[in-house]
Amino acid sequence: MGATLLLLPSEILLVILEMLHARDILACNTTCHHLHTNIENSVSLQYALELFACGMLDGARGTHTLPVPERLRCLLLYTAGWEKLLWTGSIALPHLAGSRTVIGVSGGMLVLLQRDSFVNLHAVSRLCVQRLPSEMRTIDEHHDVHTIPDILHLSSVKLDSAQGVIVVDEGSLRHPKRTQVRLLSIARVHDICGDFLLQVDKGPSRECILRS
Amino acid sequence: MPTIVSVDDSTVPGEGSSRLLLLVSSDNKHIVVEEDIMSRSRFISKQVEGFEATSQRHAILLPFSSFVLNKVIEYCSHYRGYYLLEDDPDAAPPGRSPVREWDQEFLDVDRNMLLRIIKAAHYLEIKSLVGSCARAIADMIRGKTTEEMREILGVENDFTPEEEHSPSSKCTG
Repeated sequence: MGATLLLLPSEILLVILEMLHARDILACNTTCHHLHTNIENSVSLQYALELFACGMLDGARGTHTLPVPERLRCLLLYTAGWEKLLWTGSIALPHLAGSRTVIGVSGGMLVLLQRDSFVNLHAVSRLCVQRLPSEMRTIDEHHDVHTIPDILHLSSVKLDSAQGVIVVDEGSLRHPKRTQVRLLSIARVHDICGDFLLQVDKGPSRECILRS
Repeated sequence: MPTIVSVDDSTVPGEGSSRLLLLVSSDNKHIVVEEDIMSRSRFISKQVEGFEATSQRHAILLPFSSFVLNKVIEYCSHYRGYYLLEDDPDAAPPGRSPVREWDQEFLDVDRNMLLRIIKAAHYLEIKSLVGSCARAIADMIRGKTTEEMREILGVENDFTPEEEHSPSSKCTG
């Protein structure tokens, strides 16, 4: 037998292996001990294999800014979590007085609707937006809650996760209608609202906003 | 024993040609090559810097045959004066080395030769050539079964039957 790949230094082997698809890396892994050890010891190859095993392309969401060893750690944590189906963490939600409804979770943000007691005979609601901790995205728990205060005569709250906005409709038969479009991440009024809030009288114009 | 070669600096014209280097291969062949052809090699560049520091030029001994060395010189001559991102020590390394058609034709050689070239390129620190060789080797084994890979790579199955059938890691499973 002539020249063999085994005579190559490890760093060249890794350059070659990194050009291969995970399927081929797996095949190389079972050819001999030398290649097996090289593959086992390479973080980037292990990462490629773990990705392949999960059917992912590159990393968990939000981890693309992390270096490869960190990404591998997150991915292993994620896979282990699914394998064991155990909760890896829990958080205590802020205690809010009054009745509370969970509107939804989107993009790591928890949106709660809190109906306060009547103030000056108006039904007043508040929306609370809280960032949930994420080990996967290495986000620590945030205790600060963004609140959208004093929503009068709330008629509906919708989450649009694709655009990352909360749409709050206010108004009733006897009160002027108003639509608030808020950024989900910080509960700030969305730029499309221009002034502080958007006054809407007719339905169709709201459609335009959501499509813009 | 390195041969001392004296090159008269005053005879070196400014443009069109550069100073000469003497490379000695493992089979003791002496090859004279222009310095700027070999400047793609980090190894050679460092040697030349050393010459400049000591103002003494000597032959550079290389641990591979003239056959391989000539092939590498052919590569360097082809890309003489070209900028290749992978060879730029200051540039951020590219994620994947690009496919170059000339390289593919140039590296259409047998497995032994390919392995020798990649080793030489690694020794001489020519990243673009290492990348192209690695791509050529990767292309040979892509999509092959384990058995076919052993054949192509020239490796022996040194796993015991138990190891083969009881995967030690999740990767084999």
